[in-house]
Amino acid sequence: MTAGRLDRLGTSAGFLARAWRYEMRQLIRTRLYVFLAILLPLIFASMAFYMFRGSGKQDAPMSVALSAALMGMWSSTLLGSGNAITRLRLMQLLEPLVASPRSTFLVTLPFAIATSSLGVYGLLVTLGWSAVLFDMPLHLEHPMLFFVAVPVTVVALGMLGLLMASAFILYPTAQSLANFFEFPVWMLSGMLVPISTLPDPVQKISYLLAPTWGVKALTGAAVGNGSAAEAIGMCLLLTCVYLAITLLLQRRFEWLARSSGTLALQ
Amino acid sequence: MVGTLQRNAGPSVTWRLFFVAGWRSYLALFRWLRPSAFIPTVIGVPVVQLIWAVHLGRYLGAYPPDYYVVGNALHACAMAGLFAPAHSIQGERYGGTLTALLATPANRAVMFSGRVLPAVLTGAFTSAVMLGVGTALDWVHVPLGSLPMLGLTLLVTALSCSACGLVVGAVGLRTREATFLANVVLYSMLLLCGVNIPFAWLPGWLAAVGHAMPMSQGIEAARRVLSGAGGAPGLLCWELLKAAVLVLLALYLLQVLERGSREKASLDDV
Amino acid sequence: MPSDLEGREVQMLDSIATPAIAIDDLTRTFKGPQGRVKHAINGLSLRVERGEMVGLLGPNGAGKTSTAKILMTVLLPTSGKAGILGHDVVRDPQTARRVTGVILGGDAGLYARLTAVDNLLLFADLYGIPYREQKPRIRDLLDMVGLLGNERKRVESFSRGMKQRLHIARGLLHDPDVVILDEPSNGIDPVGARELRALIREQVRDGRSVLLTTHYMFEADELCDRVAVMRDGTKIAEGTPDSLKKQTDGQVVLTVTVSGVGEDHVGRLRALPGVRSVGLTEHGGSQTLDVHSGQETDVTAAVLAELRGLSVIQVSKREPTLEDAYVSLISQDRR
Repeated sequence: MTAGRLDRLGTSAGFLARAWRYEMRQLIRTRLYVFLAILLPLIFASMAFYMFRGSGKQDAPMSVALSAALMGMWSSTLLGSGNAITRLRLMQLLEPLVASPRSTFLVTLPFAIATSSLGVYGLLVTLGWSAVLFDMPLHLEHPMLFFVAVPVTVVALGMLGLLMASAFILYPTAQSLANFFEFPVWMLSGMLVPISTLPDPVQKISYLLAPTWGVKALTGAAVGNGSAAEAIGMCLLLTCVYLAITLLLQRRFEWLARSSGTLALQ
Repeated sequence: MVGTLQRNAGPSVTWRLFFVAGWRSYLALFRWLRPSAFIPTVIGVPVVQLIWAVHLGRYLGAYPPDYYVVGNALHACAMAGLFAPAHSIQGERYGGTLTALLATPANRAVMFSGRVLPAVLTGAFTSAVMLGVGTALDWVHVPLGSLPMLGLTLLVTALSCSACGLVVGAVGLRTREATFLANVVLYSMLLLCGVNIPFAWLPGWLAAVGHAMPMSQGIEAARRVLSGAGGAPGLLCWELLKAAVLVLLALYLLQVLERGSREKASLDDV
Repeated sequence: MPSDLEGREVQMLDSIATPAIAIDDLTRTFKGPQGRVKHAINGLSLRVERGEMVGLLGPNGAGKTSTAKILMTVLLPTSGKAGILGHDVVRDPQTARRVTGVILGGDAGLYARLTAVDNLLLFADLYGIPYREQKPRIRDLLDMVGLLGNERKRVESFSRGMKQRLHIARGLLHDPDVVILDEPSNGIDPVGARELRALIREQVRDGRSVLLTTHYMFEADELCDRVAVMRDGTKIAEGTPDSLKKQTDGQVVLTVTVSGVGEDHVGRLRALPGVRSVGLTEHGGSQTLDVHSGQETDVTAAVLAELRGLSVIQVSKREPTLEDAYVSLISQDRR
């Protein structure tokens, strides 16, 4: 590798770290976002537990809690990436960022990573609340696999969020689109309700969603049903596919956004 | 000519301030009203939520689908109800129109409460569409005779949600977090207001909080109207009372915030 | 309407006694970072008489906009008094609002998604203008500011100059006696700014009392009867534009067009005997030095000696303008 390329990699890494820190600071300063990061997992966990207990359904508490955590993680990823673009638009920063010589991918990546970081935190909070409030035993069947599954799932959700955020650049009312994709992904990736209950053709879509494999990997490692290792592999594979699509689409989206003039606040 | 237009007050002026100016502010500031954004949010999100809830409900097997259809259809009015007034107030700040607005002599209570009405109509309309979707999918049956009472129930529930949205908007003037706050309320309603979880399944104190939140009695009333059980008017009176308290709270907050903004110049910085 | 006539007479009697705008010992402080107290306005007193147009000048941060906001009733003073036609902006803001027209500058302050007409209709309702008077009044105003034909377009599609003209129509909707114009020509191209000034002179003024904040001296010179200059929250000069120009009487300005001048050169020029102030303006490629000095000493030779080695393009002498008076006022004690 030439020195120049190493240099470029170095500055890119530096930019990512700085942008991540900046984005985290932005999110944490948004007082209600932190409130949301604490409250949303609690709301989802409570909803899941009260519904399962009340109806007498005997699913493992750990898998209920993990589903709830992933629901929260997906919501905060969507809200986060939608909101990041909206905020950049309002601050009239979107245009200079896209105009900067950095690739749009590098510019948008930190948002995905930052919201995902909060997602990990949300996962821990959900498991904590579930143990404290709903007497969930904190026992992991395969702890090693679980700790591999967590970052893989988080990255997978983040990348799917980024894929959508790229579309948000094109679509000026990003926030509303973000809300729209919340429930379908919950349902299709088997959060709370197994995908085996979905109609056959719909199940095929589920297998293309990285979160589906994330749910499998996490519950598999924690409760010991199904092959967690295989799910982790699938999750990684799909994440790479998303990455490739994002890179391809961002160029196209950027071009479209520039030609339609939707980068600025209309 | 100078001075002729400056001394005007009276019922017609107040009436226009409430209805016409309220409607124009809604057009100006609730950006979702453009079809490309309005349809996915105000109709699209509730539809996918409805399908999700019925899917989950079937898996749990405790209640028939119509329980979830009614709960989520009424919850759908919260989308417009919470976000429209919240955006129409917070948008003044983002658009820089707040200074011009507060420099006018318009009666603040009339001006701000006028922003609730369009939200109520949109919210009730959304709930009606959701019940229509539920009927089309054969998940719920709406007897023709129940329609007038059902319509009233939707309006009252939407009013209660929109009043809550006005409170959120007032808070958003100060903290610029109206969107997030509205989201928190929206999700809390899903947990606490009997949308998908009957009050009997919640611990007592959570159920009490749920009863005090907007829309909980409205949902119960709608279920009773559809099943032919009585008691809906009483529940709707409670819902109206909550709406009144919320409107008064919002107007009080707005008054305090306006005073605060004049003291600290705090409302201009976006 | 006899009662209206009566009201008019009372108003006319009033007008002899009360000024349009009266500001007495006004102070406004803000909490800065680390709890430091910053004086945005510090003991300002100012009068705008009936029918008079007064310019409030000063650099950014001088306190002009804070003063305008207090008069618009959207900011409270920390101490002191401000009144519009005798109505105190703190104790009786509602009456003050009814008689005041607010014309903001800049892109903000209009509903971008509404058409020009809808913006005006909304504010007509906010100002309580009766329904039957709204449409003709709005038509007249749109005609006056030259937006007729564009009134059904959304404001987001307007140019900066069109938005400013709409701001003016909005501010005059309720036909106010007093108008506050807050930096109306900010960001407008020179041709648009000239049209804007004509509009202000002929239509906004139209017998009204006007307070105009600006940082363009020539704008104030062209429009205003009197000018007050603010710096750091205090009034440092007040008078007619001509009387301010006189402050620079007995001065000459040596203008040198040159390239390659640095801060160190400016410092050395300021230290030359006889030099009162030095201004440096950058143009792409070249620079202009304005060296002010008394008539009694000719500093030309000394200045050129300091600039030896640089390429001097042109040297000329001229009488000071109002702009020079303003610059020398603002930069006093700052050298």
